[in-house]
Amino acid sequence: MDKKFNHFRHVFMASALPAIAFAATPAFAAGVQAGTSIENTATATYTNGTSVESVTSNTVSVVVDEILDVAVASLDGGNVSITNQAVLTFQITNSGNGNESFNIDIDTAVPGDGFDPDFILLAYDSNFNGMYDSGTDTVLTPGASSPIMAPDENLLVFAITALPLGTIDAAIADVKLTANAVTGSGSPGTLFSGQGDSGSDAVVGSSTAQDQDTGNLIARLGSVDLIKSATVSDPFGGNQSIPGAAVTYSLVANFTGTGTVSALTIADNIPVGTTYQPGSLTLDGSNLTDSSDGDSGEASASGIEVILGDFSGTNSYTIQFTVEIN
Amino acid sequence: MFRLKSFYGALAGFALVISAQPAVALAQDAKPVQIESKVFLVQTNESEQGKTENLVPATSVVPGDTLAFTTSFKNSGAEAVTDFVIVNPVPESVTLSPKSAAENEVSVDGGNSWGSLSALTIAADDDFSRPATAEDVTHIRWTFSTIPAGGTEEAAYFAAVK
Repeated sequence: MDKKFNHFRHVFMASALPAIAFAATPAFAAGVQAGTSIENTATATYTNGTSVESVTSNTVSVVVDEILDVAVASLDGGNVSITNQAVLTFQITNSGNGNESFNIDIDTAVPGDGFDPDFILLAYDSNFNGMYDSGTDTVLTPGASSPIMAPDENLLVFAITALPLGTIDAAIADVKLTANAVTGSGSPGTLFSGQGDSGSDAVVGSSTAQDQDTGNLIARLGSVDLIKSATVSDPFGGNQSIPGAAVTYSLVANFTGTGTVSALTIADNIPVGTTYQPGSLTLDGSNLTDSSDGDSGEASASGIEVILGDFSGTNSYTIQFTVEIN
Repeated sequence: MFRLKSFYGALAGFALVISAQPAVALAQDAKPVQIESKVFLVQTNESEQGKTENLVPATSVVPGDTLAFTTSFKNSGAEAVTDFVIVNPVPESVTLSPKSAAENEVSVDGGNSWGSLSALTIAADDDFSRPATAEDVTHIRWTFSTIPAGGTEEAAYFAAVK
């Protein structure tokens, strides 16, 4: 082939390049959009005798098939605590080159994990704010299809589950979310003739047009043990339970578990035949006034009450009060 | 039909002028050179004997496929033609192969200016420019000084589907 490079018809100056805007082909991760027609036409110009003539070739075209690919990713970055209900967040990505919807299914009964959470609902982020909005985001029946997603488009899917009765504290559950291309899935290269965008063929890509990922829940439960003890000191320096003796009760609350107990209140009655000693109520050695006021405790002739609120971790509380035997 | 014709009778002369045009076009088509474009899918087969590439007719492709676009031409006239230049816009959805880009005269500005790829640059903001790459090529062309009477040639380039 005789190729000449010395007959440039234009003086080339890089700095004088005119600014020409080309219609950009969208650059998708998965390539040219399905259904695109790639067309090629050549033109020849030549000198025939004294006249310059040109001739244009036929136009050949090939159509870009639809690649079916999908990716599923858990976005929680670790175990999600569950005490009553919890939300797991997954991202579905259309990694193919066509407009496609995906059947989305959930498996809460994955074998080999610590517990199987109760399924509540699946929803997708229909208002695109990145978080689950109960009553706003569109609920998906498990196995039903997502909205049609453009190439490279992401969709957040939320799996809401509840902690079943009998779950052991700190047990971990696997929750698996699966997405399948609605057009079809299977071995890479599987062809669905004429079922791609714009009448193109659809071809299963390297993802098998199916993907899944697992999110994890960790049960966060807690319980409170309360231990009560008493010490007696009688007016004669001994420890006999006789009239006039002072009885100091200790209530020790210990927390066990990895969750949180909320709105914990400890109350006790003043035993019959004794009289509460005003001003004797303490929490961890600090005095609490008897009146119902800014501090967490109150006491009266009939009993004491201390509001501790949320309780978690390795905390321990000691409440003491003193009565006199009548 | 007849009623319509009589109704628009005043336009008959105008219609005659239009119908005369194809005859003019036919006369223009009597050119000595015919060119034909074809597209093939490049299939790579690896075996114990090594790697072989076959060109197979393509009607549909997927991103990543390599295509071969060919332009064959014949001078069927009685005289040689000279200064024969084939210009082929590279479709937007493909990227010219680095080899085809390096071996041919190309344009990165829609066919306004031409050169070897290594000599071309892409204008950027702030008066900076960068060297052009195969991905920037918008057009490719081949130049033949003379095609003798009866002479045939074929030009080809390879490109990958984006």
